[in-house]
Amino acid sequence: MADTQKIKLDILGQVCPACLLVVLREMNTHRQQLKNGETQLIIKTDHRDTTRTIPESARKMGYDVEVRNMETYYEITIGKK
Amino acid sequence: MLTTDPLLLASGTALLGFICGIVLYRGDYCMVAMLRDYYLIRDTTLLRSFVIYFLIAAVLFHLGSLVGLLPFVPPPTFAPASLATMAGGLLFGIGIVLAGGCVVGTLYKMASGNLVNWIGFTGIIIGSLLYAEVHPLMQLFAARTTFTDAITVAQHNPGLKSLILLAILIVGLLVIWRWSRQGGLHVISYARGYIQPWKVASILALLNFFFYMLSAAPMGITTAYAKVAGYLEQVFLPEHVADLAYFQNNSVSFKVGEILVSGGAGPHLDYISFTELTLMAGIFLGALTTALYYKEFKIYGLPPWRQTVTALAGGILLALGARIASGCNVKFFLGALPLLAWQGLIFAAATIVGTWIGTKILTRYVIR
Repeated sequence: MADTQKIKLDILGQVCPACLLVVLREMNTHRQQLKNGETQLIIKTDHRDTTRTIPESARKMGYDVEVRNMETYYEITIGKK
Repeated sequence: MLTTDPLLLASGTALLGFICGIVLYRGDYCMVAMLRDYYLIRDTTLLRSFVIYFLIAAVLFHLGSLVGLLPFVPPPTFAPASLATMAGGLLFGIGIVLAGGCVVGTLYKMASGNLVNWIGFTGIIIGSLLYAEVHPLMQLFAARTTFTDAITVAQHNPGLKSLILLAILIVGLLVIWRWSRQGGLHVISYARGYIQPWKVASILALLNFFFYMLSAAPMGITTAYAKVAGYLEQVFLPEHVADLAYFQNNSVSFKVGEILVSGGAGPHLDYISFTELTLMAGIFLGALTTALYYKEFKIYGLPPWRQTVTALAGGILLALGARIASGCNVKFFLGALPLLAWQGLIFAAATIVGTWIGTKILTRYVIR
């Protein structure tokens, strides 16, 4: 979708569990928009374990999740396909 | 096999540390996350794997002592539990959450280039130096508040100890069997070269068994931090270091046959240099090699200032906690719990409370 609003979160080099907490908060704040596909969250993280915890939490809430290996970090996309 | 040869001891423990660093990094096996993520999102994946660690280690340690592979049970690095064990565990629990890593987690996370953990590391060094100033007082506190003279549960009754372990083993296996039937052991992660938590736990138990066999005690690491701190202070304030009991006295001393083995935090070569310090270096290098191999090493710059301050404070707190309890999660969770040592049980209970407090502080004041 071309009109999907993309919220970018750069959490590189922050303390663990900043990534998890920030993403959980954003998922709650934008719940409605994420559910009807208006918004996508795109997260950059270097916390390896969040490639486990975030997809798991997001899928439980009913979102589609995609994790991509970037050069030195991971990019997690949350939203409706 | 147990050795007192410094070169063998140093190379053996360094190699075990190196493997440990690789495995911990690949599995991102963080013992802070293990406790904290239960409070945050009720995630018990890592806690479950710890049950596997506990069972394997308990069986290996027990059988090892029965067949004579582990001549020192309980190990010479252990002591009776006291109020200091409890107070230390509480501070340690708060500290590790604020620093975003325990004493080992900090090492393997530093290897990825995350500056938060380098700040945490600095905090641990500062905390160790601060502790050296109050060591005699804390030692007195520990001696005055000892709960029981026994080091482990059922120390003088091997039959009873075997029975207790057998009961724990049966309950543990039933629990694991149930989890595996629910598909609860395999987890999905997208990290490069990820190793499943149950595998990390199993490898860790083996490594700790070999470490114990080689060096007469299961893994410990915080005294190595104190030693690094001692070497640093020695450069600037050599007279002061010479005055501090903590840097002059040995914290461990035992006999293997006729040979006296001893070591402490002081800035000189001893048993701690060839066990804990080499383990510490091994873990860092193993993790660094892995981070470079997966091309994940990168410095992203300083974190927000709140996190910087918190990580430093966390490092100081966790070092003070570990020193007051005379050990950290490595010695007590990985070594003392499977040996059913009172220090482990009390430290673990206090740490669980501490991490809860730390999590509250972190979510209320730091990450907003």
